[in-house]
Amino acid sequence: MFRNMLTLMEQQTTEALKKKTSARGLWFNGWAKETLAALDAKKPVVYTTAYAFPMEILRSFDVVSFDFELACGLFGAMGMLESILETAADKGMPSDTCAFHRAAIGASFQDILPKPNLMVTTSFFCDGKAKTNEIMARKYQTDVQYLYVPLEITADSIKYVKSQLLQITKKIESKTGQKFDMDRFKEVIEISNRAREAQLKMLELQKLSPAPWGGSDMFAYSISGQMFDGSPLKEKINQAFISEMTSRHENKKSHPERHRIYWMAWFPTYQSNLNEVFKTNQVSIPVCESFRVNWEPIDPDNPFEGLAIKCLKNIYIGNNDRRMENMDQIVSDYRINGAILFATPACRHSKTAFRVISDRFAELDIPFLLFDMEIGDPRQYQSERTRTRIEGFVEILNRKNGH
Amino acid sequence: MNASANKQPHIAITCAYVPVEIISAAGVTPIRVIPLPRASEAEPFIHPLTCGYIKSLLAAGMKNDLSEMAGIIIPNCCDGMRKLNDIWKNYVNIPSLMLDVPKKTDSLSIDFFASELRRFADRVHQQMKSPNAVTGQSLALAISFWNQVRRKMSDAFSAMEKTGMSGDQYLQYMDMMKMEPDSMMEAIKQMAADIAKQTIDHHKIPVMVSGSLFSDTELVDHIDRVGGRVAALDSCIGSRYFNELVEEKTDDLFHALAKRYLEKPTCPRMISLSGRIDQFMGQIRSSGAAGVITSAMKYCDTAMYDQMPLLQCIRDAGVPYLVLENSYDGDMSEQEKNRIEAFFESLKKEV
Repeated sequence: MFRNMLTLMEQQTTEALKKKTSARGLWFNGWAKETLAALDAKKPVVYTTAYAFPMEILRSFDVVSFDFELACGLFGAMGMLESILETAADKGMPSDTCAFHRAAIGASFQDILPKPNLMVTTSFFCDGKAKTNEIMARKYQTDVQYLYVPLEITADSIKYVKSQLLQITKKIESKTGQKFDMDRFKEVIEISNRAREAQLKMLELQKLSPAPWGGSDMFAYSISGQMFDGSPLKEKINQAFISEMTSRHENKKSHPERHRIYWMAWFPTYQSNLNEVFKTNQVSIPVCESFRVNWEPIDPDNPFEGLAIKCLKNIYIGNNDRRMENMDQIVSDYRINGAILFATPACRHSKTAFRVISDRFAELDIPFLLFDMEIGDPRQYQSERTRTRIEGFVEILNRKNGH
Repeated sequence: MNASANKQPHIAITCAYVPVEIISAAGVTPIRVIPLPRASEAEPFIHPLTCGYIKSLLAAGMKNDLSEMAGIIIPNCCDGMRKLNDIWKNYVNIPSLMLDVPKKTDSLSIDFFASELRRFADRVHQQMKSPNAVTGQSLALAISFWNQVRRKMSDAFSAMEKTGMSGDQYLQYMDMMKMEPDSMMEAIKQMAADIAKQTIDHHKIPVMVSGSLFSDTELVDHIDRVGGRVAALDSCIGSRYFNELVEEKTDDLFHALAKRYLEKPTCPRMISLSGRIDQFMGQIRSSGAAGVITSAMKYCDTAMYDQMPLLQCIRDAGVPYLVLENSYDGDMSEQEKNRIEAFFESLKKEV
């Protein structure tokens, strides 16, 4: 069923793209193609953490990458999650662990997933991802290369991460039989740097009112879009988004907004009423923390070190302060009048210290909502609860802003 | 740091990955903290879906249970502990220091951890204002002392596992871990002497108990009551805490510390599933355990993820097992007690 749905997704987006270029079309077409290529396994398949591990390294090889967490986003849209999660429960995965990881393990036992030649993962964002990789590596009888990224940026931590990246690159060489091509790598880095510039442009456009990109798309792209990092497709998608956002603004087609929310952490991957509730209440999300750019362009002449520093700077590593850095500037630039932290039950790293975040927003006089909602298990979803909580928060925002 | 005239200041240690040698070498007494279960008192400041140990630690800090401590060391054992440090810094008056412990044991990681430990030693002195800076000599002495503690503890604990520990003994053991080092040495000697007088009750069925930070003396007692004995304990404060010594005959003591702490018996927070499985199964075999009881702490992610593969191996080996869950609240329900009784009934039939 997974392959069939992906084939349909690819066919439909290919047809749509023939008529008109669209950013979403390019994005989903690319996603379908990459995942189908992983299932076909005509090239070595590397499991990765696409939103954390430097994809530029993988793009320098002739491999296909696959991220099982991102695949769970597809499972959600395809209505496959319940059966997969039941399989994971039958196998003994505790229900207090992340739904994405249970889904990945369940899917592997249902033989839905592609078979990896190698797995690479990282210590960020969370413990569970790395542990899930180990469980799956055992099942598939393959190796996991684990990139540990320290909590602080020091000369020693940069050296450590750089050395690990070099070591992992060597491992990819030995597993694939391909020689690492430094020239190709430099080109990939240049592409990545251009994509970064485009992302900054998109963030600049989001300062407009109403925000041309109002719902969950930005969040979803901020995570799954990273699978294309270093590829020409990423540049194309970003440029398409810029074009659409500009056009939407110029033609006054952006959704009306009363409230502009800073979004933290994640978004549910199954069908829910969250976007509809936001639209009805004229709530837009001009910026989410996962889309912010906090790294410098990578020096193509020192790429491994540049990527090491980019990893070390990730906001989900180290102190919570990183997530709140320059928040007063963001609130001002994006005219934020509310903040929501999406708190899925098992995501310890993103929500445990919510109080520190809420107190910081209180200092900035920005209402804050800790929004407990399950990210990946549709059996835990309650539409009326979602509506009640969001609309209750909107009432607070309305009162505060004199609506 | 505050210290009475002749008394060293104390620093709270929250995990087996904190190198106590460095703290001792800085002229500070490391004290292991195993907080009383009072998780709900921390909940306005920490998300409720966090493990009870972390919440209880926070509550202990906020409610002045740790008022004698001049500081606390919080290593990045897991996502929850990492976030505890963020919360602690904002709401607790006791200074905290985060220690970055890698999750791999390869040479790159050991080298990096050695550099982190050097930085840690400086920070204990600069930020925590320890009486002394760590020197080569003070560190060497501290390593030698703590190796002695480990040897004695290892012997006493092994003897306790061989004869089967009671709930009282386990409580005594946990109290001992919280003592100042010199008192701890005396207590270990006394414990070892007491255990030497015990004999193994061969009618009791040996089992291995596995849990992350396992502090449930009631469970140990109940096992004893229903005809079992705890022959092996797989826990953060079991043998993982003190097995493996630090190499003393070396020019690079920080490297030796890094190696010991990363290579010691593996804990669920390390990315080393194969090693963990080998160690776990080895412990079952060497202890002669007839069955395994796991008591995973709710929301302890690292232990929860390990559970499935470990149980698969136990099943494949034909070892009976019982899966329990605890909330670090010090209470055992009647339902849990019944399940344990039923488990031992089934073991009696097999044995």
